[in-house]
Amino acid sequence: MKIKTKNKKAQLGHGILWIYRIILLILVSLVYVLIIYNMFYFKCDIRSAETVLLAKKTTNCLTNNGILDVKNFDNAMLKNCFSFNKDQLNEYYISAKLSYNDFSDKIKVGNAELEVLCGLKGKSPECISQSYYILAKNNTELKNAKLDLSISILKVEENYMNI
Amino acid sequence: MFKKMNKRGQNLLLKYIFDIIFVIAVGLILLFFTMGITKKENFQKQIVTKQMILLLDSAEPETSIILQHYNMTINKIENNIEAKTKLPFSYDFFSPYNLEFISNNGKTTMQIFEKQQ
Repeated sequence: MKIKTKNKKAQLGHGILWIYRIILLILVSLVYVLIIYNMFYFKCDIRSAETVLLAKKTTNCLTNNGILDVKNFDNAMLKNCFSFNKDQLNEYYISAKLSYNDFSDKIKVGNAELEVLCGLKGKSPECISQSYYILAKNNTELKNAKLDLSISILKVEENYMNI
Repeated sequence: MFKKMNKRGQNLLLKYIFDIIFVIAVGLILLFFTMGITKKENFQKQIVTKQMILLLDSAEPETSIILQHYNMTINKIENNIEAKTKLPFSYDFFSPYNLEFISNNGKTTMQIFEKQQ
């Protein structure tokens, strides 16, 4: 049987047709990948809002009308401000530093390792640092004091969509 | 006016149309397949739960929050709020106050009280 070979023009046309097909497939794949990427990497991260709320709650709990009683300023006081269970204590870190004149004291609750991980790229904890000027009550004496709060929240899994 | 297409031209045009339809069909099949896995419910669950958590954490005592939601059941388990359709999604709250939680018929009521010493 004699097989008819295509002429050069036909071969070129055939090649162009394949290039067109490949370009079309690449375009469709790109659109598809873009849609899927948006679906899978949907991020609904509320940790930044949570850190602000936590800072507000901490200050309200430690102070009464802007006055902090130095006598009660300890870790137990901070722990009583929230109802964290064991699992939650690994996900949160709150530290409060009170300073006035030469006095300085720091109290903390939660997982202290989170503070070190703040600012790292990728799935790192959400952190916030805030300072408040308050009155520290030592016995009957009121002094101008500074309260530095440092708050970190991990909760990575819940805040990155994984379907 | 238009020239009538010969047989070769007709075949070539059909080939192009077939190619386009084929690529679109494959794309659509893949898209629907993925959408079937991901589902809108998962997004809704997450958004409803997180909205509730933020409302709850920012609320002061003696507050009532009423939320309307559809196609999911919402429960409070220890310090977690869990939204459930087929698979559950839960998120924890840090509110120090006592919480009364009533959920039925797509409506959830949360009442926040001061902790009793």
